[in-house]
Amino acid sequence: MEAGTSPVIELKNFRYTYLEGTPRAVEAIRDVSLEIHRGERVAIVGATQSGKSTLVDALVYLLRLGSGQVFYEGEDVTAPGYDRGKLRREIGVVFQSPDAQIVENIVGADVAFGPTAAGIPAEETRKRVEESLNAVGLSYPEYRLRYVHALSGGQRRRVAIAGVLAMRTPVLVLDEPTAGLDPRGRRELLDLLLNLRKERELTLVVCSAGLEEASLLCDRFVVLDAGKVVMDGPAREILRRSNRLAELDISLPETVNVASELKKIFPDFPTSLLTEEELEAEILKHLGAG
Amino acid sequence: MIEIEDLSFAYRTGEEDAIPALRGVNLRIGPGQFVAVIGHNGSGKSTLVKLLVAVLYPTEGRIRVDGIPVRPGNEWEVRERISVVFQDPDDQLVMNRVADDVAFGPENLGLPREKIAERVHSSLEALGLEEMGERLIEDLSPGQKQRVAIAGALAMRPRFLVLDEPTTLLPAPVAARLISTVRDLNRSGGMGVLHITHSMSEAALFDRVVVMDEGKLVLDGTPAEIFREVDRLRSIGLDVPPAVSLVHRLRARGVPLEGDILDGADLRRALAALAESPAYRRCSG
Repeated sequence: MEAGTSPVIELKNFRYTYLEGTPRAVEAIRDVSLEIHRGERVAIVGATQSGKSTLVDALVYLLRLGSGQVFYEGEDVTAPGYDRGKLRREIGVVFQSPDAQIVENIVGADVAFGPTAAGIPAEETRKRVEESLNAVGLSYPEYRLRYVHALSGGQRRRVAIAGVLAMRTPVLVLDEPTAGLDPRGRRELLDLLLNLRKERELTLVVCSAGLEEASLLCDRFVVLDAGKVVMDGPAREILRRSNRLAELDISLPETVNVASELKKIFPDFPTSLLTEEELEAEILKHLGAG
Repeated sequence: MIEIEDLSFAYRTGEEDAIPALRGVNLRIGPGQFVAVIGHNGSGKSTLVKLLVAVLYPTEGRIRVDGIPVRPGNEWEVRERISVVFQDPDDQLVMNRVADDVAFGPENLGLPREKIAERVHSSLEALGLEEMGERLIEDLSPGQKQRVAIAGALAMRPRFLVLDEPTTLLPAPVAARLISTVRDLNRSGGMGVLHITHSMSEAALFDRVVVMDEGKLVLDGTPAEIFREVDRLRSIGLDVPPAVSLVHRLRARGVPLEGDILDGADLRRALAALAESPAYRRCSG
């Protein structure tokens, strides 16, 4: 976290109970405060029912808060009179299921939907649709007139992402971006997101039950358990606590699992390795030193 | 025994825009086999599942389950032998209470009440759900719901359990426990398992791996045999488990790792053996 800058999103003393006041009330979030700074790449991680979806919904104010406040660039978004439309133009959300946010039948029309609704002129919208489709690897001339329902799941997810990119939001929130994709679809989507991360000054929030993707896309992990933040810090520091993460039913990157095995024979083998290249180099080092 | 001969299937058969989904698949799965099926999105895996349980019927070719041909009129006999669990448990859980849902299948078989109770009890127990029979399904986690769906399939006492990407929505540790439970059921009851997955590491836990591409069966063998085909698998949109990929790299760098290595534990043993070997001592000395 950069010292001295004010957070882009700040959540203060947030609590949330589903079905509050009924016998089946479930306390989803118990007093969470969180600051996200501009340019940060944060993964909100937790097993199912840890509260992560509720927390992300609150961060982008898709949820009427039980108690607590959300600030966007220092302004209280829960205050009466706050322009929510502004929030939607600043924070783009890609939901887990692309079908939850694709509203048109034709690819190009769907990507154009957001900018058009935001009052962007037609010529500028067309430009953004072309740029966004190309950015997600769906070539504009080839895909703009295709039917959405004839696309694969991975392609529909790209359309959903293109729709969000066309809004040029400085903050991008992704919920389980690779769930259900096959290995190639997953690799292509990760490459796309890594590219965007490099080319644009994005603030990125990734919500995930596991650390495989998160460890490649994000440098800060916020780990939730039973509605509370139990760990928050740099990715590699958190990955060192692999036993604790496994107890929380959080999937670790496979590189960390392999490294943990190798630590049994090489006691000083580091476990917070993120890529195959790092693992390979470390093994060669240990063999050489043996 | 599941016998699949020259099986082809096209959606919208006979129309101009017919979409071939399976092309001439031949596959035999013996009783009690523990098989994973991998293939990219759209490779025909789910179509195969639908044909196995008579949701769809072949355009060409034949399927027989324990000698019974899968064709209109035989669907119930087939479905007594093969039970399916789908990706999203919410698609197949029909009752409110856990025990009622597990009882739903056997009730439809017209079994006597005591038999149903016994099947519900043993199926819940097999999935570690014995304390949850009275719970409401909507209160369960996705992993628990998937266990209820499998308990429901198990209560049919099938000869084969077909799992169509049941772990996609589950965190890896939860998925691993589920696979290990299914493995126990396979070992203790002799029930055959056909598990469809996008996770190469999961496929490596099975005795046999079948690979599909563009509606064809392209590879069939043990995990060790299949995951030797690193380039081939990558060229059809698949991959190998990370430990296998790493070993591939290390061998290319001249590290003489012996044997079949499928996961971190295998790699640890191979590296430990290497560190002990005289040849290695000579190199590094």
